[in-house]
Amino acid sequence: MWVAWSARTAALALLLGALHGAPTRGQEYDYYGWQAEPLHGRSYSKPPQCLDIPADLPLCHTVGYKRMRLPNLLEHESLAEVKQQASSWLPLLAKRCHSDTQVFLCSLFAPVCLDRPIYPCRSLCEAARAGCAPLMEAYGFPWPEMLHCHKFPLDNDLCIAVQFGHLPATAPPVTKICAQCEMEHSADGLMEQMCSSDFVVKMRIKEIKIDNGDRKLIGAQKKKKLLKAGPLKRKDTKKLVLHMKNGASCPCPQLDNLTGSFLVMGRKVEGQLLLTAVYRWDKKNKEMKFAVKFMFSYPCSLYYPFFYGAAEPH
Amino acid sequence: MRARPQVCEALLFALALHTGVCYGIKWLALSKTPAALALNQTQHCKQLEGLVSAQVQLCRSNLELMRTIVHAARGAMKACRRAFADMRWNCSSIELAPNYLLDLERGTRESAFVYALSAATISHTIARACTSGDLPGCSCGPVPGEPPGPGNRWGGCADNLSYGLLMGAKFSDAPMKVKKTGSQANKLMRLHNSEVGRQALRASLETKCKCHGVSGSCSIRTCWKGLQELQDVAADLKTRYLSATKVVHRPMGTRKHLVPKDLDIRPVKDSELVYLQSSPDFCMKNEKVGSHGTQDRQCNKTSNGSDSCDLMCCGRGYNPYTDRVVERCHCKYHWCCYVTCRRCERTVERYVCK
Repeated sequence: MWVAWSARTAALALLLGALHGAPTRGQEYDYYGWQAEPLHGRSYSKPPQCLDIPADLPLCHTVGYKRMRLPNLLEHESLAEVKQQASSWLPLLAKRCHSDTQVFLCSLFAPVCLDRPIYPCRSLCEAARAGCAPLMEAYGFPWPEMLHCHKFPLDNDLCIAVQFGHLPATAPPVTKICAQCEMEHSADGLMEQMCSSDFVVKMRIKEIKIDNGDRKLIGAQKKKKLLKAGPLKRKDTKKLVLHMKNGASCPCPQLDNLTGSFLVMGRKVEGQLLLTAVYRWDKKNKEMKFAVKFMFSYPCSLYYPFFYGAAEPH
Repeated sequence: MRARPQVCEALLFALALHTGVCYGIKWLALSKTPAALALNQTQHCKQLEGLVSAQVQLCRSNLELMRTIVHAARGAMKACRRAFADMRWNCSSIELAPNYLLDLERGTRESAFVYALSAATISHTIARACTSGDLPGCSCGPVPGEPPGPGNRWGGCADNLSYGLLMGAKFSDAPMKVKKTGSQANKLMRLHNSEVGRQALRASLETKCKCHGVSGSCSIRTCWKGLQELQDVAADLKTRYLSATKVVHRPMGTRKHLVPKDLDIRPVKDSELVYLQSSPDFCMKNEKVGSHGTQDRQCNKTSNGSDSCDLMCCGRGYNPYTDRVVERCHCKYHWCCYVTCRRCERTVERYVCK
């Protein structure tokens, strides 16, 4: 396959050379794989290694290649460090906010083994950011410094370009449900959401206002129960205003009718309360009752995912 | 009766040769240790070149350290040649270890630099080997006593500088501790310069941090004490080489000390390199002073620095010539995952000193 491809390319080069009336100075293509000596980049203590992508690095195990360079392009120096830092990106992958999210993240977390580092192109970064940054912002997480797109090269032949983002959609686009309104049905899923939230409160909602691109949930004065206080003080709960970031124009079935109580989870970010999940309170729901009862017994991981979505990769 | 003068001459010659011998950096010959020598048995220690008996003894009792020290010898040579690539004296004579020329045999400014760099390199390499887990006898450096700063926490694996300094000095200073060898002045100079190298290494220990927060945020930053790269330490020592101080061996009180030759009102500073003998200009080849000369050295026509053709060639002029360079071009990355390149030729104009 490679040989045939190379032969065609060489033939094309010769043809172009003939058309220009002079032999081209370029010759047949050479292929370059892994070499032990690093050409560029910082190598701390050891030259870069080439390792199998382990099965317990689920972010990148299915990316499309099997071996990765260590240290990676985020200066993670051990597999343990890579796994630890990569784990918080799995939920974003599950959200499928862009078809090239995995290609982009893994080009940095588990870069291909070649004789030089291959960075993602700036356009790949910008596409992933355009698709995923609004979702991250909805949960109070800015697009991180380490993924700022100006760090990556303008598109050229030696960077990783958009791979799947060009494919035509197989189905007509449907208006996507608000991220904060995707439902988790199991007790475990609910408790994972509670782990990633600063506070959990059972409350009634008085009204909803639109504020630029956000929705604002104004809490009712009475019938409020703080299930997980976190950073909230007693005074904070007197007048609860929850911001649903980027939630102005997406559907949220739970909020179609404001009667009754809601189970609300959120984070406190720079003095503002951000909604991360909302459920209708259902006292007959056994999963919900179990989650609320055993919330503090659940073993939250130290580096918990910033959100836990119901969407699963297919 | 006639036989005696010959015996006396031989003795005098040996004595003269003996006084100038610089044992302290002969261990850099370890860079030539063949890969086939596994260094996993104590009898391998005798096969190593450039070691005094105390170093052979250290080899036997710290066998697991020797692979790292061989690595350090290579690192020191590479760092020296890199730091001085643009100078007339370009550290090429370091490759002759253990049989140096007079530029490194005598108490010159150049040998001062090499002593300092060697001491820094062996300690640096050992400290890093602790961090990377290559040395079973040591591990990460200690967690510092001071707080790491708001929002930060100590973590990771700090370079074990104290172990590096301890074991590095034990090995590289061993030749200077032997009482019989060399003059006292040379010994003091070499020990001082080695200590300057270690001082530069201590100064290069800095706090490094990484963002370990959720989703790549900097809400949690992990910090550790890490050494700068060896080439940065070498660059620092080169600056000290350029401002090194000539000293003489002079009695002060009941002892003899090294004091600055021209400004003898002050003691020698702990941070300055010192030398006893002035260096030539290294323009012409002169084996009596260990100068290779700059004839046929490449120079930079457009530079204003020490590698400029005027300075490098000492005003003798230079000759241009063209060189054909074959390099990769039109490289392209293909998903997933390989790179193809073409081979391009081009001619470059180079200049060499007359």
